[in-house]
Amino acid sequence: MDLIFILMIVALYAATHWLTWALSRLGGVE
Amino acid sequence: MTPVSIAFVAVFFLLLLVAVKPFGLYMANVMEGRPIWPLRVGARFEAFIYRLCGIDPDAQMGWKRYAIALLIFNTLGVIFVYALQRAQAWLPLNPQQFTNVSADSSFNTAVSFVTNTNWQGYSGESTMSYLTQMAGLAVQNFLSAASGIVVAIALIRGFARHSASTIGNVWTDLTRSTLYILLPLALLLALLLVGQGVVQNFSGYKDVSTIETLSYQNPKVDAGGNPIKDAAGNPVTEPATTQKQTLPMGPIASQESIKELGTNGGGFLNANSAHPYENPTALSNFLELFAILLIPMGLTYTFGRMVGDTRQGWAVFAAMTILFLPLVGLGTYSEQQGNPLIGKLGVDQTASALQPGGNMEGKESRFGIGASALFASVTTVTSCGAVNTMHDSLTPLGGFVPLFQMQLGEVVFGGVGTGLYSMLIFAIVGVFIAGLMIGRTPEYLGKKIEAFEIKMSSIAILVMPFIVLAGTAVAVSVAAGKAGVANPGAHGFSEILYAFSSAGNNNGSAFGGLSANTPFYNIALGLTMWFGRFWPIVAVLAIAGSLAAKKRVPVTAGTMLTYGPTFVILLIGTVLLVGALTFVPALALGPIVEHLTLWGA
Repeated sequence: MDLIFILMIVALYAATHWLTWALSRLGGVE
Repeated sequence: MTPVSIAFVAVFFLLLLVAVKPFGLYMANVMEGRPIWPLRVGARFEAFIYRLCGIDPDAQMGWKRYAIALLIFNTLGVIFVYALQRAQAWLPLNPQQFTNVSADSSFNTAVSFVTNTNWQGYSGESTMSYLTQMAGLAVQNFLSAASGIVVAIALIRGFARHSASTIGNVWTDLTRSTLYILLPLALLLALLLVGQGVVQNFSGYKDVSTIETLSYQNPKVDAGGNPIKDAAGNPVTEPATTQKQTLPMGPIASQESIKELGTNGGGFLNANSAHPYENPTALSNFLELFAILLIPMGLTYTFGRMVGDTRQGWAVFAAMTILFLPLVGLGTYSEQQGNPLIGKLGVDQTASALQPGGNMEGKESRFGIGASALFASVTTVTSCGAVNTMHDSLTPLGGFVPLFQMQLGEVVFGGVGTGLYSMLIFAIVGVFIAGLMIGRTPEYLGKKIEAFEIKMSSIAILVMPFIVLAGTAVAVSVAAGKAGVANPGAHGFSEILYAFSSAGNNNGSAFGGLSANTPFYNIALGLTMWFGRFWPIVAVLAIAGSLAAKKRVPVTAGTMLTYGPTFVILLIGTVLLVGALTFVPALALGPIVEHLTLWGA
């Protein structure tokens, strides 16, 4: 059970990291 | 509203107004690293922290690096708080020998405290060890507040810098905001609260015998903690008696102070600031109210100071104030009106020298109507979520006020840092709309607002309504969501809408009546809190990076002034239109229909 929740936390981080990357691709500055 | 309530709000607001400039100036000096005496005194300790953590305080970061560093820092915080709860039974400072917290509740609480939400599906005094409260929850009260401040400061730097590729150093920003702003204030407030009688010790809980045997109806719950209901949907209870009362103890004052200052709101005790051990007197209540608004209000001046024109900060402050005071008035008026059904029974609900009148259900008699309604407003215009009255017992319109204030995006002073950066996003959208109307390229603080900033602002603004409304829709549609509702009908809908509004805006207050410590709500609200916090933060930091890289446009005759009444009205209009248009249909199904039902009966 703990592993599932730790993976969920990591997935939340990954989703937000992906957003950072995606927004930087939209324009603006690196 | 009674004259006492009006005088209370007036004195409270005036004292805060006096503090805005000196405290805002102090925060600007701290965040700019000016050699004021607290920074000189703390310089060695600060340098020690940097050496210990391998930080180069002079290194500057671009927005992506700043955002990812902040994300990693907060993710590690979630994992640490999760692990602490899951292992608390084997760790010290657990005099009540509490067992480990369940996995889903640990996840929810860890995300909740790291995101500055402090939504609490658990009851603090019967769940958390002192170590978990201090090393897990109280630490995150500081760090989540600091995280909000640094994002606001990074956005301000975006406006203040030009032709720059960096927006600051997240590690020095976090360290300075914690070390020189949050810690000294929290220490001072904790001592003042102890002086008022707030508990601060490491003793085990005290059992005392009551004078009479207490008989009460105990709600029956199933194995999952959900209330058992009869065929009519009413909660099933069983008679119970007791002659024992357990008095909770613990390091409450130290957590109470940062709970308010950091607009966190998570109570050491389940009753939060309604509990006499957290908030014993009228003066402690006043101090807590003051502490909640001090940093968010001060940051408006910090903003003006750092961009080199304090009129800009006062304009934002004025817009926030104009939104704040009428909502306080509506909430207080509604509570003072009382319940018409009780009035029809011949109960006198008028205020007098002998009674506060109005709707006193769920309120503490030592606070009365005015201080309770003001607290409900202050805690929901900010991202605090601490409560000194039970919001579920507010009148329909009294409950509408906190719900609506959260749904506006908590931009009326707002959370520490989050309120300011969210309001500045609305300012960007406002000048964009004004630019469209007059046919000019929109500018704000000498920076051209272009397609990228508007895309990012749209993301920052729309993430919250999407997750709140989608989450509410799912919860009212599935059995697991409906199982936790104790009050079917419009009020039950309000409870669910309030829970997701609170989580999505990182407020943390609860309408009560909803059994949310279930796997469904723990996970659903956990996800809502995370995305409601960090997705807008990434978009805001992207704007900061983009603005910092731009050249400053000189002020000309065609530049729209962003410190005059026109801009203030424009900003208020933008906030109200976006907030109202997004949430009015949902509000109509909850508190508005409840109000019409009550007064039409």
